[in-house]
Amino acid sequence: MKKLVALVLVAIMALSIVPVVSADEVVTLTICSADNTFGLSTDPDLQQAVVDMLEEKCGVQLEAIIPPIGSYNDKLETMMAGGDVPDIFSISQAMTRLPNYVAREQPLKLNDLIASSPALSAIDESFYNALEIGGSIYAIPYYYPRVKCIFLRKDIMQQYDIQLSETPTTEEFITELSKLKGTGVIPFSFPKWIDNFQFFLNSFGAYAGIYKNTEGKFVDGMQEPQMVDALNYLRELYTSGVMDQEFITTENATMREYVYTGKAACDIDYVANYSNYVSQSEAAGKYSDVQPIYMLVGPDGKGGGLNESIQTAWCISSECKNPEAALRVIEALVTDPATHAAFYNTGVEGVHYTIVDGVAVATEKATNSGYAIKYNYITDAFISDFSGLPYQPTEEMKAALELQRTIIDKGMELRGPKQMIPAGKSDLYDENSASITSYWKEVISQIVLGSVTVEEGLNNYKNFWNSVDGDTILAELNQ
Amino acid sequence: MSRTVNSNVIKESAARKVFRVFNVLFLTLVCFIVVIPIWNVLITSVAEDKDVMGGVYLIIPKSFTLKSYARVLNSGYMRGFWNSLFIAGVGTVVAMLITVPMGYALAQRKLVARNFFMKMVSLTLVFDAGIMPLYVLIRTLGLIDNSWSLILPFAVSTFNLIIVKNFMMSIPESFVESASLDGCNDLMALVWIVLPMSVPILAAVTLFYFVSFWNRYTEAVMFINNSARYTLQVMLRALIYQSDGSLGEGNIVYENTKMAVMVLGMLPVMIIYPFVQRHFVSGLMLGGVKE
Repeated sequence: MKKLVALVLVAIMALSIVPVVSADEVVTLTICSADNTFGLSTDPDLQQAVVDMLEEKCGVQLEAIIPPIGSYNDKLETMMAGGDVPDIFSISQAMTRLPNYVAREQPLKLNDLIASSPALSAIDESFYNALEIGGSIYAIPYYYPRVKCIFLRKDIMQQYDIQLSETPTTEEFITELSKLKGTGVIPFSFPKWIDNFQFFLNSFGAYAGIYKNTEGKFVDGMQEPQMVDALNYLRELYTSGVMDQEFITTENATMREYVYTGKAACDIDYVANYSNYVSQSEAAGKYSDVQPIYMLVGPDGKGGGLNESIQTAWCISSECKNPEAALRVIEALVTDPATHAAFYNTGVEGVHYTIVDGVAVATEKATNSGYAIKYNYITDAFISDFSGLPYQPTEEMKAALELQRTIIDKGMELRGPKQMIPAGKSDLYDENSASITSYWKEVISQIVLGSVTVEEGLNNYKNFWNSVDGDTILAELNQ
Repeated sequence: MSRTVNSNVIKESAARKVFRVFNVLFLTLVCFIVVIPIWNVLITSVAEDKDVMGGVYLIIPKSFTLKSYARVLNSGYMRGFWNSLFIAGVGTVVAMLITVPMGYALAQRKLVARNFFMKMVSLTLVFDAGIMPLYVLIRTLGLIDNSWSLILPFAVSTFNLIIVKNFMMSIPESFVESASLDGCNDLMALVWIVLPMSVPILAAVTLFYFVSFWNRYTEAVMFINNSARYTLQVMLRALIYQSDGSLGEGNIVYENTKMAVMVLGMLPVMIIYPFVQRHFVSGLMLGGVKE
């Protein structure tokens, strides 16, 4: 009997070793990114094909978590708070969220790991610096900073004799677009996202939120004198009928569709979306090229496009057991042409698309889930050469993308400021930053819609600022 | 003869006639307000792509095609549909299996510490711990990324439990007493006597549970990691957000496809509702009364 028990115990011990041995062979990592990645499809089978491809490329086992983009941040933050931080995760609105995550010690410091990777070290340092916190790098960007400009339909310009250059003045913008009053065409379609007003604030040297001024001191932009002129201009845009009177309920998709269909003359959008305007206006049966307006020149010659900087980037969890393997995955996603294209846009051959005469054609299954071939990676990625891929865009698309590249470059050149407030420097700021942002958005929308005058709105803001002890925040940040 | 009939008719005053006309107009308006969004979803789902761009497609159909439905039925959204159906179906059965006996037990006046149990149950109506404690609980139970995480924590709804309990309290005790004289134990009395008399409330509560499981969204996003286990509601929201393309990267999915998925999302409840409708109002009225 004793022998039998001993035998069973030995067998159990031997079996317990087996998983340890196999765990050493293949590293398992969790990767979390929203469903606007993993081959740009919400179909689980299609997403899994991208995961399989990534596993094969990087020699790791991946457990993919792919929440819907609309709930991505909630999901990620719930996982973090519950102690389930994914080994590899992407972050959105990086300039706002990364400081918070770093303050909670969630992401790993990546300076040494990046230095060990020639491919990642080759990325322009300024892109890393945009997300630098206290001299350390915690996130790896994977595309150029996001910049927005105004896209104006050329057919409407011609029809109504609208004379606007790519950098008109603030007055010209109102005067010329006013020609559309009474025509049934919305002169300027604008989305409900108040952050976009920064495009116009740039023309007056104003900045909504706390920022570092030219003297290197943190100040509150809402209380700077130039904000008054900027807000008066925004109000005039609305009262003159140039801005869509229903903008406060307009989604981005609706705003774009207005321009695609010619219901609106122009809107504000990412410079990298130029090719969408060309292709979608054609799909709507209202084809027109669009002219970018990179910035409006203000009375003092100031101006700049809407700079959203690096908004999304990759992080590795500080609890990741194998950061080197995690970095291999990120390196492939950011610098390998085939992996990057598959992950962010095109998906996997034979699953998402098939190649016909060198051109990728979406499969029926992929099309049914709303997938369409997109080539944005060509203009968005840091990778300069995608010519090695077995499929290429059509000649027309190539031409549009070449133009898009020029537009992106010009947009980058003329982009306005974007500031990141360091985390951990002022606890009071860390506690109140969300409510400060939310309040200035509320005040600006009230002023534009005419619920309050500029003076009343700014007074309300001042009262709020005092209630959160804003001056102490500035003093702490300036220490 | 006709004179006799006329003399029996109560003559309506002018004010009452105006009131009735106003009522009809008002209720017609309310009816339109309820019906128009559903009508819009239906006509948009059968419209051609080009007709739904620009956000002007409201009441009058411009085209008819089943292309969007063909697309959706052969897409990954069907997996979400089956996942939802599993969770709603199994969840409803599990919930009813727990709620009904619990409601019956709480309806027994002889139950020891009945008031204490009722107070504990009612407490959950007032206090909701929120998603984080629930997440930690699910994680501790090892149910993360498991479809049961969308069933077990929601197996008893206090509101439904109280309705069932109140209804069962309204059944005369003499029925159960007679059954026990004939040799029935509590379980047999519940199955053979109480349940057949409780069809209206069971129908209403079944529908409540089904709809609640079918529409569950936040928990599905939070507790499920593998997108192959996502419910239809999660996929529908993903579809809407993805096509919004606010980050400039999303696919452009036209409204007709979105609406076809929405119709798919409404379908099970629309199918079930007519079968339970006749019990619905009476069940609620009876269960809502505390004797």
